[in-house]
Amino acid sequence: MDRKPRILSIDDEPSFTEMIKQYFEPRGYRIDVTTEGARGLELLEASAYDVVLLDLRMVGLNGDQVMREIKDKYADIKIIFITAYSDSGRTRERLMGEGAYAFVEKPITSLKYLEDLINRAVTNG
Amino acid sequence: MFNPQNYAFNEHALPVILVAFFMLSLGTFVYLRKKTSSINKAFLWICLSVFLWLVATALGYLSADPEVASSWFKIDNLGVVFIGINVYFFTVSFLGLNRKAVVLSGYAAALVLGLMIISSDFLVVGVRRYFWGYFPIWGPRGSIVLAFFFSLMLSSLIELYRGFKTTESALRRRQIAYFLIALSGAFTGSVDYMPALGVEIYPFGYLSIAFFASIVTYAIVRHQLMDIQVIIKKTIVFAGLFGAAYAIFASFAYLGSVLFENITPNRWVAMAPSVIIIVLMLRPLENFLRNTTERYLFQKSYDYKRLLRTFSDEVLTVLDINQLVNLTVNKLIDVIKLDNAAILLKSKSGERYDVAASFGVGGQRAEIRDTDPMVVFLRETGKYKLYSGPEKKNMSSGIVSAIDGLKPALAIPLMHQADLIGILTLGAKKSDEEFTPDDIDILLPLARTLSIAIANARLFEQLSESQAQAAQREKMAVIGTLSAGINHEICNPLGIARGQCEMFLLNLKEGIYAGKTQEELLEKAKEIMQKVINETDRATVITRKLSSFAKPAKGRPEGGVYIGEELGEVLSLVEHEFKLDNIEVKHEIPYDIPAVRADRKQVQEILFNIIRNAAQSIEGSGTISVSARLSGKHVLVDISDTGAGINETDLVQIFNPFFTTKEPGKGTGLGLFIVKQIIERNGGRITVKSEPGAGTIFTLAFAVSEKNGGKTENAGAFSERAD
Repeated sequence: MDRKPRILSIDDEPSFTEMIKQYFEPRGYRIDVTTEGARGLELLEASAYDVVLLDLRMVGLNGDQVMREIKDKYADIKIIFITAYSDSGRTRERLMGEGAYAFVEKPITSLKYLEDLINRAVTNG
Repeated sequence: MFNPQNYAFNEHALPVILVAFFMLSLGTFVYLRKKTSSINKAFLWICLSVFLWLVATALGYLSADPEVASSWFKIDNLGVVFIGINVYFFTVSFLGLNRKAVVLSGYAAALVLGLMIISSDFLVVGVRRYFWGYFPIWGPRGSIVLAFFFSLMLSSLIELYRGFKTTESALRRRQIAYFLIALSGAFTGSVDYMPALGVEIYPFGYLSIAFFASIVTYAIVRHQLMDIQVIIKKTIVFAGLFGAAYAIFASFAYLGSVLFENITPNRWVAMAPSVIIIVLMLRPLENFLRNTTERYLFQKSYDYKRLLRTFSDEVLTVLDINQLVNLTVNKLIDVIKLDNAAILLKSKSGERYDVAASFGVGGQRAEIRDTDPMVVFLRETGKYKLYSGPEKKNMSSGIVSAIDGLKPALAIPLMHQADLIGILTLGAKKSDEEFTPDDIDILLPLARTLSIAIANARLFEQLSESQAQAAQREKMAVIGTLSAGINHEICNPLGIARGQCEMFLLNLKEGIYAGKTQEELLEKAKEIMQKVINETDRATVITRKLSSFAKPAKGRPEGGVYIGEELGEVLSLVEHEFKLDNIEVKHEIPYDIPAVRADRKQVQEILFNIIRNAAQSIEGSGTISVSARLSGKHVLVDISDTGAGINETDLVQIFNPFFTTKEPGKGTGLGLFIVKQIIERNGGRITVKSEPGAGTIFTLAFAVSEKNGGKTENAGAFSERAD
């Protein structure tokens, strides 16, 4: 894939989505962000994305529900969970089993790493 | 003399006979208690001579015939000449003086005089009739008898007074003093010489002797006079006294009936008034005697009943070991009136006995080790040690012990299950009285109960410690489950701070900032730094709150705790989590709710536990409401939820330890148990109402604090912390 992946970040932490936007935009990515799961689904409806960066625990629709929705409607989209939730890997395994592409624990070690991860997700299919 | 027809009833003889027999019994009693003691033997001699004098005098009174009376009075005076020398002999034996020559010549003289008095008209030349009956007439040689008697009596009194002055032992001094007083009293019995010399004065000498006997008896009971330790049964003394008083009383009543016989010929009718008087007087007399014996013979210089009562009521129930031993020392000092007292407790290592509570023993002291000879003595024998006093059975002389530094007069081991858990030392009594066997009889059971109380307090201490540990474990477990929410609050800011910095560096490196001026770059850097500061502050606040929450509570109500503030602290830890779980927390704590008396941390723990339980009972979404109101001297805090509620069977058990309805592994069953424990330790109450399907409401009652609360200690990042 020649063009850069199109990214949607759904995270209830505004400072996080803001940072993601600040990082990816200047690097030529098309990126949209939102702090609500429901709004995320609306955006998905409106435009096409390659990757969704998804928070797990959110007020309103949570990450689980959003993922199920995406899997139903847009099976190609890669889902990367980025969450502070940690329960010794149980949730991680479950979500990976349900089709998530990756599971990143906050605090993320590096933005560069995240960028690589996104690119790999899109390239490797 | 042996013909009954020569005698006629004379009421004046009765009290004399009574006192005579009292003296005889007293002498016999003293002698039998210690047959080998020369002092006790000498005392018996005094009593025998007094008995002889009084009985013979009484028989003289009873005599109808002057000849017979005269014979009795000769015998009476045989007793009298021996009284002087017997008293002197007793005095020198009692004081341990060597006056053998005087004593022997005295007895020889008494013997000679006595023989002459009995066998001739040497002294008694005839009898005279006074209103109380016959009385001897002394011839001119009476002056010899008087001189003999008075010189011996005065010498005795002088020796006793000297002995009193020079003796050092407090007990001994008191014994001498009592005998001195008794003897001085008895000396007034010399009045009996007056009628013999022709002066008509009622010979009340027997009363002087009764006084003497009473004082000596008292001194025996209270001060171990003649080394006699009597643990007298109250009932026996009472019965004896009552019998004696009643006998006197009855004899007077009999006299009354004799008087009435003049009015009515019927003997039984004549006795009726007397019988009525006796019946009426019986109760008051009994009460009077009971009170008198109680007061003078059995009332200790301290009221041991009060000691035992206050001890069992106030002291033994104290579960704080320091308070327990301090209270005990204070009570003992206060009630027995001691110079000093101390309680030593075995150290945790078991190698030392440390003074846990003391009064009047001074500051600097040598360490008392478990190898100390006195400690070994107490531990191995389990017996008390008396440092002075008459009971020297336990004296293990020559033991040099660090305990001596506590100036004990009595040391009692505190044994529990064959282990010497402590030592009770009591200093001398302020009254200078020695510890008597009676005291010991009271103190030993008291020490035994004290040992049990100390063991209980120790056990309770351990229990509270382990309970506190359990509470802490529970709290840590809670914090573990909290980590999701906490993680969010810590990891997000950290990730963002890191990301912002990384982004700036990558932008520089990858040329994204290529077109920017130095000034624009500086602005960018400033912006990022501010973000980093904000985010790290956010993380700091939450970590501080967490560590403050996790810190073990002091467990003491400190007063001045505002429920609203503590609720805020607790909610800040859980609010994010609750939001994610669709749980709304409403709180209405009016601003004018006063501070309560409690430990801050414990209030947080209580609120946290209940709120967490409330949250766990909510499935789907729900509301937790916290409100506070003032009710009298209490602040009532209601915490209600719209959760599943608790059924009646569970509701009665929810405060029981290890009771949980949560699935295995999810709950320890200690949360509410600990909540109840700590709220009660803070002087509060907790109640619960619940309706299955509708929700549960917990009501906490805290006492309003006397003082106003201070602000929370972790208000700012720069506030100093003690830990």
